[in-house]
Amino acid sequence: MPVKPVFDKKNVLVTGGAGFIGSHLCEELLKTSRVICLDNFMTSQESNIDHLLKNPDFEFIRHDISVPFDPEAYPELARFKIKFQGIQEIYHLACPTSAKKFDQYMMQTLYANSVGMKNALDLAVRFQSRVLHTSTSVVYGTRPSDGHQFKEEEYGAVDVLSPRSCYDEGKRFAETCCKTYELVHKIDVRIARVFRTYGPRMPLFDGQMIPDFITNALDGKEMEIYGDESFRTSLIYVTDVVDGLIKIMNAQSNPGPVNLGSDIDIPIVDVANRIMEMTGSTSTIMFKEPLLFITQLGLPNLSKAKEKLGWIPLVTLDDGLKRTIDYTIANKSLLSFRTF
Amino acid sequence: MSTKRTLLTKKNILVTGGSGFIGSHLCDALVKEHHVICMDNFSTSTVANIEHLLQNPNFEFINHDITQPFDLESYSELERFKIKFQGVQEIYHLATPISKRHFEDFKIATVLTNSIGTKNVLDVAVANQSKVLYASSSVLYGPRRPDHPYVSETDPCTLDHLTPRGAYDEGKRFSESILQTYADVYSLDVKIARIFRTYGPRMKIYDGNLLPDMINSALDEHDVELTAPEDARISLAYVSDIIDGMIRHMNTSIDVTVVNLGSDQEHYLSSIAASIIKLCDSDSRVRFEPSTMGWNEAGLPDISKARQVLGWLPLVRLEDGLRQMIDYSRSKRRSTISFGS
Repeated sequence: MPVKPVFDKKNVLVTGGAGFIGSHLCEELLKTSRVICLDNFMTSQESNIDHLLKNPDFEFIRHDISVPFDPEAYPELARFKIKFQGIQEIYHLACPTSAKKFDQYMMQTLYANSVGMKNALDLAVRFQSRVLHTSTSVVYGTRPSDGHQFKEEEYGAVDVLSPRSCYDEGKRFAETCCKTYELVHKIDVRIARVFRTYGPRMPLFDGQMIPDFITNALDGKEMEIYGDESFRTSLIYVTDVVDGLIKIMNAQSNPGPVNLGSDIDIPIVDVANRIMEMTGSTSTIMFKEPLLFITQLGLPNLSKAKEKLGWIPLVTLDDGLKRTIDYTIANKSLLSFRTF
Repeated sequence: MSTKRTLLTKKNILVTGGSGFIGSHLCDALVKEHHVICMDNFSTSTVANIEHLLQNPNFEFINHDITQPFDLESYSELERFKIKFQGVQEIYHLATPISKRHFEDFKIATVLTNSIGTKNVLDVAVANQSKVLYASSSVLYGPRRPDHPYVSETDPCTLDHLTPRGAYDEGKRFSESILQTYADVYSLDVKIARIFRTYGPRMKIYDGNLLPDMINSALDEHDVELTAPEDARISLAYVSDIIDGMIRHMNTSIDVTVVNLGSDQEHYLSSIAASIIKLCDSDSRVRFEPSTMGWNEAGLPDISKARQVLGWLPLVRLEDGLRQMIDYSRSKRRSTISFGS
């Protein structure tokens, strides 16, 4: 297969590019590449990429990845000269994620993880693109009782028939599709397993807790924890994840699945308290019924990311929270408006 | 959930993968009382398995790859089953490429069949409000654990989804998840039969399968070579027992989702080989070769649930089953040889 000539910048496709992580990734990629951002706003926001729409190296296409995508059919992509230039890289992030409206998107979740994954991989076969599939820590199953950190080789123990299996098992199956395409079509498919991530543009009032903590702290309202005082989790700031994704894509050889996350375990109550301190809030904390889609999650073993990619999380929790709070304050009128 | 349409006469039943090894036996059993729509694309099965059914007015074959959506009402050959009025009461979903020898060639087809294929079948079930039974597999439980040889339906399913076999193993897992999701979203009545090692006539005789290979060697008077440790044991369920279990499972109430179907009796490979040699009147000898891959037998089924809920247990004695299979191999080999000459 002849390699298509790369005239100037790489053409990079980001599926799910208007999502929380996707939009940060687009921003970073635009520093060096042309970015085609695909999304259908199922659980993401147009406002996440508003500031990118004017960039000549950025093009947004509203498209559901469960339907085959032909980039050459879009006149708005003509300036990317895909016919000659091809698509060098595909970051596949598209998958509905909504903790509170999980039920509404179960079928779409199945499609994204099977048909959608296939369509992304078919594009990679057609353009001989390198693929990075963003998988998730849930492929390992629930937080292990012995507290060990998940290593990439671990088989994982996911309940095939749980009500959330369309996501958990779907993500595993998507990884299997990647592996199968790699074996059969000899394309280069990489896998990142992303652990719980936070930062600006996380959806508000969707059960993700941290953005809600901040908004409620600023408003002096109660901060809701879905679970009890024992709820612990690790948190990685979104720019660290973006950095990791790009490092995996750019690695000389395919490192196999790589964990991206923080290995520092913190009680979520401490995070809530820290946010109160930082915002000078006098809110109180309220414990509520756990949500099916918000679980404690296990912790990643990061040695592979460190050794193979030289990647470690850099943003401290305080720094990350501060940036997220600043973002929330700056966009508060917009954010609260959006929730009605 | 009630069926959408009134039943005029016999049930309409769709069997995907109906010309395969297990599927064709299932069609044989169902066609005695019902209308059977057998769907297959012969990717790893053969028309010979259903040839004897093609003249049966209660049977119709549709050549279709389930990774493409389908609408049963659009087939003129199904008009006599009056699907529009009668609906489709039951769907047995067995379709997936299976080939030991040519697994590589079917990897993509395998991931697609077990995702998009299952979705397409379930969409037909939703449209017709059919009950669905999915033929799953013991591979979900992963390899046998020495400390825990018997696996029950509630045991965790742990397997490596990134092996070259992942297309099949993980595909089967994902199909189960698709079924569960359709059950949650559309209140579809779904049943999952996790089928353990099954044998019988119409297993492909030249596809690298353990029993057919042993029978071939015995009939050819070659050494029966076993790539396994000498004390290796396996469990084997005869195909008619599995069919009986599947039909019973289909007819249970809505809350019986997962059931193991298989034999919980273990036999030494060496004694199976000896029986085969004896039944073939052969002078072959058994030779054990150490395996480079290691001997990786699936777990044994805990079948207490099938016993209690379905009143089912495997009945066919190994020797009787082997005799049937040897007769089949003999006739098959004769026809292959005469075709070849």
